[in-house]
Amino acid sequence: MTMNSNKLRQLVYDLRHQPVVTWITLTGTALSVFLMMTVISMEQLYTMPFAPESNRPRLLFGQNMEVGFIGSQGSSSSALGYSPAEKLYRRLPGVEMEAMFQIESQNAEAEGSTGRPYEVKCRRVDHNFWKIYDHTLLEGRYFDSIECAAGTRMAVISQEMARNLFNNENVIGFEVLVGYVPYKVVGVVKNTSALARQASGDIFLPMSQATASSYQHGMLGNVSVVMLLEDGADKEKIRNEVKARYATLATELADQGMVPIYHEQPYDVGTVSRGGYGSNNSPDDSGYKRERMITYLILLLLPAINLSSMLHSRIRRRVSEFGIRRAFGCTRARLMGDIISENFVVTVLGALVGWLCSLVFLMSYSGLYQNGWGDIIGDTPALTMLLDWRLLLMLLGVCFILNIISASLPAWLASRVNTVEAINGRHTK
Amino acid sequence: MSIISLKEVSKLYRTKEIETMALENINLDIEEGEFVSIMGPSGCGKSTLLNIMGLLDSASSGSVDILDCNVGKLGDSASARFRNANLGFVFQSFHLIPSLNVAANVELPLVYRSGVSAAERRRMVQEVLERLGMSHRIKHLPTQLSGGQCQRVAIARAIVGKPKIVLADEPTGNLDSRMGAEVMSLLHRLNKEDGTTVVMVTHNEEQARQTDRIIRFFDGHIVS
Repeated sequence: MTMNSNKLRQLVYDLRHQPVVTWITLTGTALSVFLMMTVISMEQLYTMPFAPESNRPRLLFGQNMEVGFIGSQGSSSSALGYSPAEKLYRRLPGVEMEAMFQIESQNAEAEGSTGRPYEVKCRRVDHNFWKIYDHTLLEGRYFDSIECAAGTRMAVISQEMARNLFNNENVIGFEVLVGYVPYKVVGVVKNTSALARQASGDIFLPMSQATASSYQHGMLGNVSVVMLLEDGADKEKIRNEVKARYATLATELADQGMVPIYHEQPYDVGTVSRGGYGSNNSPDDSGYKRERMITYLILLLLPAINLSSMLHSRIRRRVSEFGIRRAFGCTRARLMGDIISENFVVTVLGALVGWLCSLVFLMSYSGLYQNGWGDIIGDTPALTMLLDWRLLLMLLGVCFILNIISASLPAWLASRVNTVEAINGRHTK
Repeated sequence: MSIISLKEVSKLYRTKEIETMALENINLDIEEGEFVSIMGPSGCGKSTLLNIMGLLDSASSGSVDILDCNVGKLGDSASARFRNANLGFVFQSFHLIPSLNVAANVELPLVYRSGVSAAERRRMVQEVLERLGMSHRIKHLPTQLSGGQCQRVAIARAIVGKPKIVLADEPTGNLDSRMGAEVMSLLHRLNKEDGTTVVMVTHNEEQARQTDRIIRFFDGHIVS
């Protein structure tokens, strides 16, 4: 299955002499690879580390709580209350530090000195949040543990918000109204990509027991926990410890007629980014993988069938050539290999176009580059990610599979045509 | 000594509607170094016989021995290797590959031969094209050549691998008389200078008379 210059020349000739078939083949391949790379890349973007979520591989999340009521079928569920969050996730073995925060940012109305109200994404976070997530502090400082615990009304805002709310980036000490409540700006951070789902936001406010919402006897609220694991920490061991703490909590809550229901917490960033689970059920990772495999299969099969018929059409024009090759000593296996390798080059060409399209799409995807195109020129983590060798290897793998699916049958049929019939340009298969 | 030996060879073509006996109990021996013509009306089985000798088709019954090898028993790969090593083909319509230049067309049999380096292939191609007076056209595409030149290139392709036998199916059928004579002269040179056995199907009585032996066919039988 080698590709020498003669074969390449022949391939170019073949492609040039059947322009319609060539364009359909290349476009079909490009579209298929574009769709697949976009799906894969989007998934990668939510799990691969980049600032301010550079620690993604070392993170676990304690998210949600479901409490059942003893003697009843009913249950209640939502994010955690502050107190159970502490009981379940504070100082777990193998965890370097943990932060209490809102895993989902909330929309709120904010107003600065310009007097123009803005819809902002607001997130309550504690002092450790800034240690786990590596935001870039442009001005001022973050709030500390004492300020958090005291529920001090202070805010860290994004650069873009500083511009929008104050027409200025030097806004330390200024007052911002969030939901008509005044907060003092103590820090300004660089804008982040919206793909940093757990760490991005326009305005960050202190999270503490005092500021966290609480209901259902404090069991439920608006708190999630992010844990930064020590190097080499065993995630299963941590889950087992959390499970044991659930059991302890169940004993404590029995008097109040409640029982906390364990749902395989804590989750890693892959599970959290995939979603597909609620506060009252467990993530279905195997179901997710099954769905994803079916999606990939459809994305591969549909264009492969189309490409297969295109290749068959291209091959029919060359049937006489194949007969001649057979006459001069080409085996059936070699002929099949040659056709498949030629088609592989076409697939790679189409795939390159598709990959470039997916790059452009992902770059222009809303929120990937909030700082504008200027960032793309520099060495941004997200661009590095899109050019990751593993992704390129995956692209090559996709091409290979697409090629095998689409080329095998036409190549096999071509190799089975009677040599004499083939030489005379008659294709009986 | 027979280089090609056919014993009781028959070829039956069967479709859903009809059965056609293209060859019936053919017995034929061709000696090494012979130049043999096969003649007969269209559809009498000449080309079928040539295809069976060339391992491009198989006999329905009987045995075909070429170079002391019972070729009917060879599998696809062995058959391809045998063709590559021992047989050369020249066709009426040249059958050059249009996308490849002269050198690449001539090189084709060597590409499928193991153990021949690219440099060696280039040398052999150059040598055979010089011999056939086509070295000045080495980079040309088939579409840039005349019919006679195309057939010269096809002959070069047939002999570049130094086969023992060349099978030519109406090699002058698409050429004018002058070009036809040139091609015949080349085949005779091959036969005399290299001792290559040539089996040629032709409708041209005059060209056939120039060969060592004429085998006449009619309705799938050898008549003389």
